[in-house]
Amino acid sequence: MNKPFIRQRRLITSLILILLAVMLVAGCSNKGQSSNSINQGNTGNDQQQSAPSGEAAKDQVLTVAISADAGLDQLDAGAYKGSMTVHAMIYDGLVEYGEKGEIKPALAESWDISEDGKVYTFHLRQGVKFSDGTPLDAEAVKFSFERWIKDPANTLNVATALESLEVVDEHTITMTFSKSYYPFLTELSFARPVRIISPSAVEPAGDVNGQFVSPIGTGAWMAESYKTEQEAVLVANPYYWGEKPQLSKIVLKVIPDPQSRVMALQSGDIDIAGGQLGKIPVESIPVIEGDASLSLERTPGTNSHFMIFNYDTPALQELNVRKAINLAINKASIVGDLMNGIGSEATGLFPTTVPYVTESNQTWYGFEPEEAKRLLAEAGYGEANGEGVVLKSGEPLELNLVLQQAEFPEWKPIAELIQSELQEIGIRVNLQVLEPNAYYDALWKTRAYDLILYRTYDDAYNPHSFLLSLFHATGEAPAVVWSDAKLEALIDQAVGTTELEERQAAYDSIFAQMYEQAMFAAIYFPDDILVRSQRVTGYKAGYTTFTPIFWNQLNVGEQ
Amino acid sequence: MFQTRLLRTKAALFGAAIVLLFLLVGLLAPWIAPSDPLQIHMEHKLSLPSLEYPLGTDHLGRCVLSRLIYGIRTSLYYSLIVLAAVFSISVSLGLLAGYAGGKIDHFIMRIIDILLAFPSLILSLAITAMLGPSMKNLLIAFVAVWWTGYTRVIRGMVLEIKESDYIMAARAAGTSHFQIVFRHILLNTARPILVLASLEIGTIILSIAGLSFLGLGAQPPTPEWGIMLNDSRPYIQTAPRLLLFPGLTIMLAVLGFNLLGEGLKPSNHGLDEARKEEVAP
Repeated sequence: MNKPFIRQRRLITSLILILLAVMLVAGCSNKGQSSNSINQGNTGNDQQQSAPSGEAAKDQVLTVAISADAGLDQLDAGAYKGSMTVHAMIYDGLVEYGEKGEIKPALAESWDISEDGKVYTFHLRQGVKFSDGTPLDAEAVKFSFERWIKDPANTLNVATALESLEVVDEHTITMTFSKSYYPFLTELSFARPVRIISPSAVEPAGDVNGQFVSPIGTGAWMAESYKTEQEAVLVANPYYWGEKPQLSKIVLKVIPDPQSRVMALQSGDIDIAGGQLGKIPVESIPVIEGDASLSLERTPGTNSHFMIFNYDTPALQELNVRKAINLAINKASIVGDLMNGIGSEATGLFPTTVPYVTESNQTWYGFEPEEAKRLLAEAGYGEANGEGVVLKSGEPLELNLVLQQAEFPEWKPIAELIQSELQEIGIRVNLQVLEPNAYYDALWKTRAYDLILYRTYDDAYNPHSFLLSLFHATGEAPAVVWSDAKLEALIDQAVGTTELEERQAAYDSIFAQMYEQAMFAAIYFPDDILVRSQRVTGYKAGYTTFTPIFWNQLNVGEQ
Repeated sequence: MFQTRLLRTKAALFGAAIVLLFLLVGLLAPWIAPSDPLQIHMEHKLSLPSLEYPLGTDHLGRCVLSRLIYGIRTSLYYSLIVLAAVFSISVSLGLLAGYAGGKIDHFIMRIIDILLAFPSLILSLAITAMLGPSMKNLLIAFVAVWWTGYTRVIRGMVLEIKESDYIMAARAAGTSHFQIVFRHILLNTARPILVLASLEIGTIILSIAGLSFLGLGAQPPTPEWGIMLNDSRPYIQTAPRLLLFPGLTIMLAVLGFNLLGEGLKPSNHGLDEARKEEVAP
């Protein structure tokens, strides 16, 4: 009776051991493969055998964390849906945005611009194919533009100013515009909606009004598989015209919570996180720096954070008050103490990574609280009341500062610091932390604020597009930050001229006026931070937020 | 049975001690707090507990202990306001619905049914989101949502008392409605209402902290426990103590009020005993 029982127990034990071994093997091989390829236990051994020799050499997989769903199923080149980063990976534009706004050839090998700056002729690269093998020609470019360009919702100048789009021959296309506007080329480098999609990507194929079916572009990457709110898998496009990617596959994993992204990096579940893909909180930097398997990559960003003064608030209509607020803010402390040194003190509206911004046209106010107090007194703000708030004709100087925390969590401690610094010079600031919708309502519509924190747009939108949308009247609405006919004329001049020198001169005087009038309170220029695992090689930062890394040069090695 | 009773008394005393401690510390905050809870010292940010800062400092170099102590004022003070408002509404409506009955009763109860159909937290979230985030709006939202449950309970008590013999007698003796409602019914509901209220404070404290955590309540730089928790969230790996201290404080405060409330509640055993004695002879 006893012996069979022992044998049975041994059998069970060995079965369990085998099961464990199989699970281990399946778990290991699963890293490189999509989840549905986990095979039954008995093939596990074969997989382990073949993995190191043949497949792993080819199968270079990188896992990247993204904060929101990539939306591969709706990633139409001509629409504003899905992840912008993935747009730029799958689709190419006619031109590409290089360092400090330099426009580089992409699908267009070269281009000519007419004397009056209104006619653009693009010469397309020869022999380019979409990821399904369809050849790229001028008709395909025309098709891509015609799918969205008539939509009145588009505010891009290439859309609103376009008069005609003509195919000259198989590899030449011309665009005729109603005005001269130098950033046309910049707009054509955007991630969307200007990139080129294959006529075979819609149903019925080639119909400009056709329904979008699948994301087929000429980019280095193409969609392989997609699970909503979980992950998107991209593989190298075999027909790609440029430098072939080193990696064979990129897995984009959705991790919405910033802290979880940091933990996933630590555990090795993901290889890269950060930038606009999904921010890494500055508070976690000590943790990352302390982890030998991770490395922190910093690149100076192209945007800046600043505080808008409401020109309808009487107190803020006085130059001395605006100057005093600027002088009272300790920008060095914000960068050093609150941002963990990730960024630099603002020296104007834009950092020098932005086109037309130079060391010589950037001057801003320093940290001089005593001078700030003197300026306030000069503006007629006398003795402080019992709470330390300065008074003018009996009225205390009290301002409300609006901000939001959901998209910019760092704004709250910054606002609290500014609040206490302005209290030092006798200005009472009441903070109002709004949820994003209410915040944008206040910013764009109701103007219910005295001070409001905001930031400039990213890369290709600077400086022209940001100036046009915040320092220039749009349609019926007056300018948001500063309403002044002289400034608006200068901006019009800068964007309208085809002369580089004249344009630079116009931008120089725009920046000079901003300083003289203290049009806003400059705060800080953030750095873009990205964290990568040490096994990732070939890292090179991109020049736009939608191309944070040159994906094609990345590779993965052993830990 | 005797043991459980003693245990409850002990627990209630413990609860009362905690509550008393919180009340005292909150009342004497300016004398007890080691530093100014609003004073920012960037050079001391995230420092460890020391003699100057007994619980260390937060990300802006503010004294954590002082902020917790001043936070008592925010939490308790506003909880009491909510409580007073909720009970004044629900007592008057409950008395009205229960005593008047008929169409008035029907009308009030249907409104309550509609409001109770929504989860209360979601409803108060929606109201604060609509009115804009501020402590005042948060209190309005709480009161607007919470009066319903108590009105129902109080109406039930009134209905029960209304049918009792002494009310019949009073009515037969020609006592006015006003006298019956205020002298007989209201006074007889007073004790259960007080018990209910003391049990409620814990929940209110927790909800205020919860909505402030979400950024809908007190606005910075007001020291408030929920806000302190939210502000410390990014430091969960580098300085977990920043989350621990406000978390423990909230727990302790809620525990104190709940224990006290439980102690004040007449024990079920006690009631059963009393009934048995009534029946026995």
